[in-house]
Amino acid sequence: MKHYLTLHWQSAIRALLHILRQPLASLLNLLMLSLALALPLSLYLAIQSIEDWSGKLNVTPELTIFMEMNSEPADLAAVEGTLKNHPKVGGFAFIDKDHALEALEARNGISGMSEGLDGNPLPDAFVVKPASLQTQDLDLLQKELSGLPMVENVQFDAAWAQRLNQLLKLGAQLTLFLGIAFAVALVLVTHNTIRMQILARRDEIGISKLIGASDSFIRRPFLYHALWQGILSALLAWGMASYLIHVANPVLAELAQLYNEQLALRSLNASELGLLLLIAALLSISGARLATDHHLRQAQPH
Amino acid sequence: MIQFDQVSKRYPGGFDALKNLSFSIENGEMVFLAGHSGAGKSTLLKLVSGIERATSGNVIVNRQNLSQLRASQLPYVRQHIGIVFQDHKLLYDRSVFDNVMLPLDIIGFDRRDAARRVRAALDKVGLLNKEKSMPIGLSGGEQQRLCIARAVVHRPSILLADEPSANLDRAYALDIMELFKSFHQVGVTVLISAHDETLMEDYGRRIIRLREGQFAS
Ligand SMILES: Nc1ncnc2c1ncn2[C@@H]1O[C@H](COP(=O)(O)OP(=O)(O)OP(=O)(O)O)[C@@H](O)[C@H]1O
Ligand SMILES: [Mg+2]
Repeated sequence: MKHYLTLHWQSAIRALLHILRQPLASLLNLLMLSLALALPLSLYLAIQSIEDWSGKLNVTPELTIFMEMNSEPADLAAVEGTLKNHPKVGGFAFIDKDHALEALEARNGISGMSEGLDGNPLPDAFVVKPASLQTQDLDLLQKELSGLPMVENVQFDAAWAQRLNQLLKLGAQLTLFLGIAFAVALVLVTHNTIRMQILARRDEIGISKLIGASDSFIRRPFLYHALWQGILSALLAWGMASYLIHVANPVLAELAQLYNEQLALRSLNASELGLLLLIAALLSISGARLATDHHLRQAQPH
Repeated sequence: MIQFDQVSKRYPGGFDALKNLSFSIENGEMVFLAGHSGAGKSTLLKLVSGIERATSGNVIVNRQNLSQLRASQLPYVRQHIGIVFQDHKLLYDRSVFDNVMLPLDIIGFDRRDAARRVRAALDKVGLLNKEKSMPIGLSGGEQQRLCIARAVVHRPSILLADEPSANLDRAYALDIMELFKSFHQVGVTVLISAHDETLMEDYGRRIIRLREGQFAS
C-alpha cells in the first residue's frame, strides 16, 4: 500500500516537473484554460455581490389597497375579513382616510387642506405585507385583491426590487449556462492537449504495453498532468477574477455613491475556492481519461 | 513452464500462421525455435507473451491459461517474461540507461534499487560504459545487447528472444548465445528463435522446427 502511494506520488511530481520544464507551451495552455474558468467565475461573483447588496436593502414589498371614495364601512369590513383569512397575506394595517390626511398635512406643514379641496381627497387604504415574496404569488395576490368589491386599485410598492430580483435570477441562469459551456470547453481543451501528448509519446506507450505495462500505468502520467493543469488554471482564474474585482471596485464605489449606496464586489471565500479547484480537477481528469481511453482502445496489442 | 495444447493462430485476413500445435517446455529448459522466414516463429513467441492471442487451443504460461485470461490481466503475465524483439523496439529518444529502466518502472520497482539493477544488467551485456549514450549511436550488435539487458533487468522467469543473432557475424552471435546460456544456467526458461540452425546445433539443446505453421520433422 505504501509502495503504491509512493508510485503515485512519484508520478504526480514527475507530471508537475514536466509542466514546469516547458514553461511557454504550458503557460499558453494554462491561459486558455484559466480564461475559460475566469469568465463564469467573474460573472458568478458579480451576481453574488449584487444579491448580497440587494438583500441588505431591506425592501419588503408591500401592496397598498385603495378603496373607492364612496365605500361603506361594510365594504371595509368585507376586505378586512378577506385579508384576515387569506393564506398569502402575512399581515396588514388599515389606514383610515382621515388619519392619512392628518399625516399628510403634518408632513407638509399645512393644515386645513380639506377645506380648500371640498372634502378629504384621500381614500381609505390597507397596507398588506405578503406572506410570500415570489413574483408569481405577488402578481396573483395583486389581481385577487383588485377584484374585491369597492376596491379602486392595488398598488405594488418596490416593484423595482422585484425586477432586480428577476434580473439577478436571469444572471444566475446565464452564469449556470456559461459555467456549463466552459466546463465542456475545459474538458475538450484538456482532451486535446493530452491527445497531443499521447501522440508525441506513442512509441513509448506501444513499447511499454509490449513489455507489460497495464492500462493504468499508461494512463497515470497523463491523468496527473491534467490534474495539475486543472488546479493551476483554477488558481490562475481565481487570480484573474480577483484582479478584475480589485480594478472594478473603486469604479463601482464611485457610481454607487451617486445613489447614496455602498456596493462592492466580493472575492471567493475558502469553500468556494475549494469547490472551484475540485471542479476544475475533476473536469480536467475526465478530459484526460477520455483521451487516454480512446488511445488505449485504438492501440490494443492485448 | 510453457505448454501449447492444439494451438492455432489465424490472423485477421484469414492467414493460418500456426496450425494445431502441441508441445511443452519445462521450467529452466533452454529450447531453440527454427524455421524459415514466415514459418511462424515470431507468432509462436507472441502467443507465449500474450501479445497475440490463440484463435483456438490453450496456451498455458506459468500455470495460467492465457486463452482464458481477460485482456486486462495479460500485462501482469508479461511482467514475468523478458522479451528480445526481432525489431528491437528500443526507445530512440531515451538514453541506454533509461531504456533499461523502463521495465522496472512498469513493475513499480523501488527507484533507489532500480539504478543498481539497471547497471548490473548493462554490466552483464558489456554496455556499462555506454549508459549515457543514445541507442542510435550504438552498433547493431550493441543494440541487440541493449535489448537483452532490458529483457532481463526485472529478472523474468521466462526469456523469449526472437532472432537475436540475425545480422550479426558468427563470433558476435556466439557471444550472444553464451549470454543466453548464462541466464539458462541460473534457472531461467529460455526460448530462442533463429532461421540459421548451424548456431543451435553446437549447443545440443532441443530444437522445435517449424514449417508453414506446423512441426517440420
Ligand atoms: N499481424 C499479422 N497479420 C497478418 N498476417 C501476419 C501477421 N503477422 C504475421 N503474419 C503472417 O504469418 C506468417 C508467420 O509470420 P511470423 O512473423 O510468425 O514468421 P517468422 O517465422 O517470424 O518469420 P521471420 O523469420 O521472417 O521473422 C507470415 O506469413 C506472416 O505474413
Ligand atoms: Mg519473425
